[in-house]
Amino acid sequence: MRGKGPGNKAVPGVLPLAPGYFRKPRSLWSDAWRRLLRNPVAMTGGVIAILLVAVALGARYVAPYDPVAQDLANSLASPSPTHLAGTDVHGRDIFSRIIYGTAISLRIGFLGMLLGCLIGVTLGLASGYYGGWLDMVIMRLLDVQLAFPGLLLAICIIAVIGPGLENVIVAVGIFSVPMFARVTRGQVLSLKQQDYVLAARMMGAQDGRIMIRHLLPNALAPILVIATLRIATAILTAASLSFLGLGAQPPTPEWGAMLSDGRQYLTIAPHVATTPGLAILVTVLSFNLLGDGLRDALDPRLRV
Amino acid sequence: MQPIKFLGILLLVSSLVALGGTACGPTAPAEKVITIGQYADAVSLDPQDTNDNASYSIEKPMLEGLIGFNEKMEQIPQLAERWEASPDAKVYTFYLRKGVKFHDGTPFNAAAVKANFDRIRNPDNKLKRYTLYKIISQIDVIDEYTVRFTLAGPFGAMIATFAHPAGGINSPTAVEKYGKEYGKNPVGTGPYKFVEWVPNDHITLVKNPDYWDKANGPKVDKIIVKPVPEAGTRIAMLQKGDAQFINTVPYAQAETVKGDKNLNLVATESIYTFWVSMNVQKKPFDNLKVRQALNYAIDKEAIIKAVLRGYGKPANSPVAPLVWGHAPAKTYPYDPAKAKALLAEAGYPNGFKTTLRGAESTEAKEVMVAIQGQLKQVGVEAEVISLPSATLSAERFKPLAENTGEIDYSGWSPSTGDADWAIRPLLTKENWPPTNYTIGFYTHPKVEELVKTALQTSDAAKRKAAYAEVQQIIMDDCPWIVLWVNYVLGGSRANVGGIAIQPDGIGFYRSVYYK
Repeated sequence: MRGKGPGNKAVPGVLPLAPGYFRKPRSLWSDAWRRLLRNPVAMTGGVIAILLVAVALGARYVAPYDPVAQDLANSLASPSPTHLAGTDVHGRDIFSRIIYGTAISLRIGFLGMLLGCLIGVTLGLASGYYGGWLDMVIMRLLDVQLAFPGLLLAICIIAVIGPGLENVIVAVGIFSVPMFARVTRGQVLSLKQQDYVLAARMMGAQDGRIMIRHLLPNALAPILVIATLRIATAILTAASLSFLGLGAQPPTPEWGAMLSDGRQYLTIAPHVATTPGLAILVTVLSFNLLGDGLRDALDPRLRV
Repeated sequence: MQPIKFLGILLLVSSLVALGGTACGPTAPAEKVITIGQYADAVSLDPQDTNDNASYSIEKPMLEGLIGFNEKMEQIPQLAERWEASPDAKVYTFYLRKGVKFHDGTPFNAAAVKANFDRIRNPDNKLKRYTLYKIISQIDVIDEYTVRFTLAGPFGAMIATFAHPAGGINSPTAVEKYGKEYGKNPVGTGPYKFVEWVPNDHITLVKNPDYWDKANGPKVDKIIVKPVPEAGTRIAMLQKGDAQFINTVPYAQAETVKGDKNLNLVATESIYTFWVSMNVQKKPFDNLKVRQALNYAIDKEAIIKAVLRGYGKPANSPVAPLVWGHAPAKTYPYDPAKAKALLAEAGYPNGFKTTLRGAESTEAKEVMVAIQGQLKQVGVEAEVISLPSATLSAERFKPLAENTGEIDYSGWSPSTGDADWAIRPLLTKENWPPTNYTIGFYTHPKVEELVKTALQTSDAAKRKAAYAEVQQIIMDDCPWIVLWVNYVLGGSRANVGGIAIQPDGIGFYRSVYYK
């Protein structure tokens, strides 16, 4: 086979090049992907996350019972073949409620993260790119927000806009803004000094084009890491809010609310509280593991 | 040599102390102390300025009324030996017990009684229980031990009102001495005397050795009441023996207490009735068929079994069985088919949407979710709205035009133990919000008339007959989905007796003893 490739024509006096020399250079993303594949912990997180999404999407096919159908005669039944995770005080099937709850938690996690990401990244881009007074104002405002403990801030937001699942998404979103904004700004500050950005500007590119076409794609890696980790935080915050009665309203099968409902039966029916607790644990853990793995994989200083 | 000398002295002193300790030990008998873990701290210890059961629970061992209640909510003579009511229910004469002294030595007599009721009926004193006794227009001291009350109008439920815990008699000397601070320094005639109140930590009472009723005097030396809001903590205290009684035990934990051989679950049938009031001035609840349908749609037995863990029984009247004047009227059996048929007849074959309002306690939420689930079975989609108590109360007390309430889960305990207070504030027009608790804006000409009739006389038989008729009308006309009467649960150590929670939810601590 050797010597038959187009670039390997034997020229007298010149050594043939190693095979694959002309292979297309690997991008940061494909490099990262390979590194991620080689990280078993991150992959476990990833696989569980994908499974959870699948369960959430197919909840109605997976769940054996209607999550709000009551059977009071069967209150607080222990786990059994008919009710895999037992029933709660209203005789509702906990396993089915957990499955439907997956959809609710993931939706809050994704949408909350997305909202925070959109606002945060926009602020971060503007702040880092323009600098000056705009940077000053945006960053100081975000500093003020960061000064509040996270959950307390979310509770304050709920107190203003009222309880309910949709409002939890807003609260969780707002609560994630500073994180995204700071990371984006940091990236932009270093990127805007790069030659290709200066070149684009010299060629007369508009500010918007430079930010969207040149700065954002190159700042994406750390944002992606934050986004994955933020999903986990968003799910946990939403569950905490529902636990406190500020999120999901009955009879919505939200994990935090289920945990709160089951709390007082801990001594006589521990499965009522432990099952949603485990569901929160597994979900948050999977997104955190995936996020950590992504961070390692996307770090250009870590070579394979 | 100095250190050795010092050590020697130290040894000598400590052995003396140790000897002294052992020498004294057997001669002084151990003090009998009862510690009670209560769900809340007192707000005030002045019965005339109290409207919460946590405060009354602590006041009752210290302060006695002219009339008291026994554990079955029956009236018993306390500081009055007997009493008379005029047939027109306007003049009440009390013959007082002789030889009773307040804890501060002030003699108990007609003048003391007059001073007490003059204080509470004076609006300038701004006492929380002013409204209960404002109907008294004149108080006459007939002699040292006879006092006569004249009312502004006939009020047949007055004897029960005297038995209300707000009628606890305070030492007039102490009221004078402490003024505004009297609520922190109560002085009465009861078997226990006040010692100290450290807010949010404890209240201590000691036995009154001079108590007038030797047969029912104090049986322990000291009662310490600690506020413990978290139910799990209360139960842990009881299990460890840090408390000898706890008030209350939530239904969910009743099994835990019951299953422990060192503990007793003390369950008392209450005078609380629980119900869902419907705003009868609004569609569709102005329609009797709809109201009947909702009554048939709720499976009370099933909710009692699951959510109340069995500690309740379906109510057959708006008035609980232990309330004076209760007459069983009727119950609506669980019949979803009939409910659907009635809804169809009323013009709602596919049901309707509504909101179910109530408190945000776990228990209230669980009940509301169960009701929501059962209403759904007959096509009624109820959104559960649970509100913090201040907001809930503000919403409920809005006048009709501004009130957004549709159906509302609530409960009531008539603390006078009389049917009047179980019906009039809840189901008559002059008690519509913002005045009082007729939160469904109900009115019925016959009910209004009978309630008035029953107050015009002190004749027990006439009053009972009127209330029986009212109860029948209410159950037929169903302004409420009448749910159940619950049990109030306390927990005690197995070696402790004579302590419980009264049917009205007030702790009954005065007879506590070690077995």
